[in-house]
Amino acid sequence: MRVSCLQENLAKGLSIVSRAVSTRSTLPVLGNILIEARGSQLRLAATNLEIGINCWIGAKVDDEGAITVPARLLSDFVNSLPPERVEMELSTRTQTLHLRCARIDANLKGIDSSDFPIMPTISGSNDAEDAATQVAGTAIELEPVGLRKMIDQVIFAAASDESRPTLAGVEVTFKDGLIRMAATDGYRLSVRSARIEGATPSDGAVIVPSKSLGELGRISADGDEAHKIVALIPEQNRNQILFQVWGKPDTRGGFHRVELVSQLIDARFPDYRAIIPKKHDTRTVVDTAALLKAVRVASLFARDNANIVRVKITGGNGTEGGQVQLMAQSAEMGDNATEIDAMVEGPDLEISFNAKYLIDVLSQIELGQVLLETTQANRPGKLYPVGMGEDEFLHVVMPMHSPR
Amino acid sequence: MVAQHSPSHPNPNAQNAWPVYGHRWAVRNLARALAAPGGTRQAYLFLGPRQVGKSTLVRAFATALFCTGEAKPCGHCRSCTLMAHGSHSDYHTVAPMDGGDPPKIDRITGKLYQEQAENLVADAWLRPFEGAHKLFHIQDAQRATTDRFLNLLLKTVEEPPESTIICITALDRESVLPTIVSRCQVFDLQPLDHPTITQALVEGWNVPHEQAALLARLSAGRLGWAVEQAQRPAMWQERQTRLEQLWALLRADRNERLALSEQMAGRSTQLYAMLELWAVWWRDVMLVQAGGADACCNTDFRPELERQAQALRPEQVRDYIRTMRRVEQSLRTNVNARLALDVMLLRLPHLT
Repeated sequence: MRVSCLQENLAKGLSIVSRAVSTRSTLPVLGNILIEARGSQLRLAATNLEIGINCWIGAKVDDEGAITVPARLLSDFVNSLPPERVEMELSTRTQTLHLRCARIDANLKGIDSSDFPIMPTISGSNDAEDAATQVAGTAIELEPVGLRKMIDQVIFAAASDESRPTLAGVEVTFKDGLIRMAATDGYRLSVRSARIEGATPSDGAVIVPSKSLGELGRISADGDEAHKIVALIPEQNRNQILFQVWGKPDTRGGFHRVELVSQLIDARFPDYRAIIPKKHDTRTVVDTAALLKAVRVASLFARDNANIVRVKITGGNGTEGGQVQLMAQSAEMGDNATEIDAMVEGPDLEISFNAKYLIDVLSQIELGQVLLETTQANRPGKLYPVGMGEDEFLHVVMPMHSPR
Repeated sequence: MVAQHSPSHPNPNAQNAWPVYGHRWAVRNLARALAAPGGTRQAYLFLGPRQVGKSTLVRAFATALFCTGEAKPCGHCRSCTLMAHGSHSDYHTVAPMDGGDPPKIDRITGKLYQEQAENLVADAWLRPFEGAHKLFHIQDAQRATTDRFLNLLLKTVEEPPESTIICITALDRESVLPTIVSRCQVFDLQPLDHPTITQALVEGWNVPHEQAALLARLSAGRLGWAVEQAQRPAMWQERQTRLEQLWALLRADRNERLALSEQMAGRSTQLYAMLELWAVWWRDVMLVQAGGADACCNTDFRPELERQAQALRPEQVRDYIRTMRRVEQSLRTNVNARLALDVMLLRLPHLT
């Protein structure tokens, strides 16, 4: 293998794939990054067997070939190089990669590339030699900005501890030309749907680790917004879901494309439809930003008190509008109350929520007003942005016991 | 510490293609389970002495499970090659770690940490990476120093996803939580007989026959130990030095004995090897006294064995073996090593 590329592009590519380098695996090869020169591109790849990331960057390939080298060392070394051309040459006999940039030389000892796990790739990359790893399936095209928003509005509700692996995932459903994501940690639920344009896959659902979707969001922020993101679930042995993000290869520090391969979680997602309240007694419409601000203030006082924020909803009396009062108190530190205007329909109610959960969801709502539907103090509350409809975005949050 | 029985060696058992010497019934049983659709269990427990071949058997089972060739394991397909390199992405090993940073595998004195169990539980629910199955191999489950490690695994061991198989290896049944044992199919691996080990060493590792036969006797049925020793030429010299040290100690006074105790107390790995060697030696002395000299292990030192067998009374030897066992147990349960060794060396019989 003999190949050269720009330091900025290489550094960018390495920073993207490094996120998938395994830190805890017992397989030495997973601590390495795969470097493969083919055609006019250099492919960088890493995987921790949960997430795999392939990144193609532009390069001048004199001799095709591949090797895996230690990830940390390679990234740190490349980051310390000046922004010039990096030349790489592989000695196949010793499996050593020689790097040269400006007047800096290095030799990195590698592991044979055939030991690296095979990651599937999406077809349509016009690279005939990739055919061996390309998988068949219906490719779904998604708008990068919309997808990123969708991910942000869902993944925060997934369980963060891994003792409940199913809940650490996001259920992604394809049905009737819609893509729907749902996540829950048992205390709250976030569901978001969007229409798919173009080809739609057969109906079905998979569970994707929330970490993988978070990573996809991060990568797509660096991608080309004009180019749609492709998602694909292989038809045969449905172990993975693939995402393809196109980049801006002509800018400095840009990439051609990135493909993220995520293993799927092999379990049944809990039937969350059962916990979505079917009816409501009180409907409250408030300004999103004002409510978020009030919760943030209240959360300062709720820190020592299990994050409990009391929400007191009072209806109007015809001439005056209704109000929502947010209260938090700490036995030792003091208390706080904020009042904001609201449109209230239905009986008055006092209900307690976890401040963190309210902040999480409110900070993901861009629309100006938010609707809160409640029944009783011990029943879950339903929250969604006004103007989006609950079939598009819906959040359910469990109440907390009010201190007596 | 533990030698890997390299799977690249030729077929040891005529009956099957598994790269495993001996343990025929276990191999047959597992091969049959693989052949039948849905025949495999979700969890297996392999019990047996250290280096008897538990991990080798698990690796062979995994190789056959992942193999995509006709006769499983074929030894040629990508899965088989990766398994032989120890880099198959669906084969996960969980082994005791030392407490260092970065942690390293230490199967003798390391621990299985709670964090490792948590990672396993999360990983078990991910689909396999390359094939249709993934296999988790928990090594030395007796090194789970608290019950928490195994307790965390209970649910996963009982009902892992369909594609996941969990294999646990441990020294004996008592060292594993009963709730884990009852969730696994148990294979109690027995020490191999001398001819099997001799044959394995000769065929698989090109050890001269005479040396192989002696190693087989010394190994107490543990092929892994025999292979490890055979690959270490210094081993013969070390063994002779240790035995000569023992013979010298029999004639030594208290001061010399206590000096050795001080010297050995800090080196735990060497210490256990020494204790093992001594135990076999005293067993041989006892065998000679009882007229069973043919069953001896240290056949190359027959004259010295006979000399000691005559000079000592059988009760003396028996008592000392008991003392040694007690001391060894104490050492493994964190007793002050120096004190335990003092006792052991001072009670060593005296020869004039």
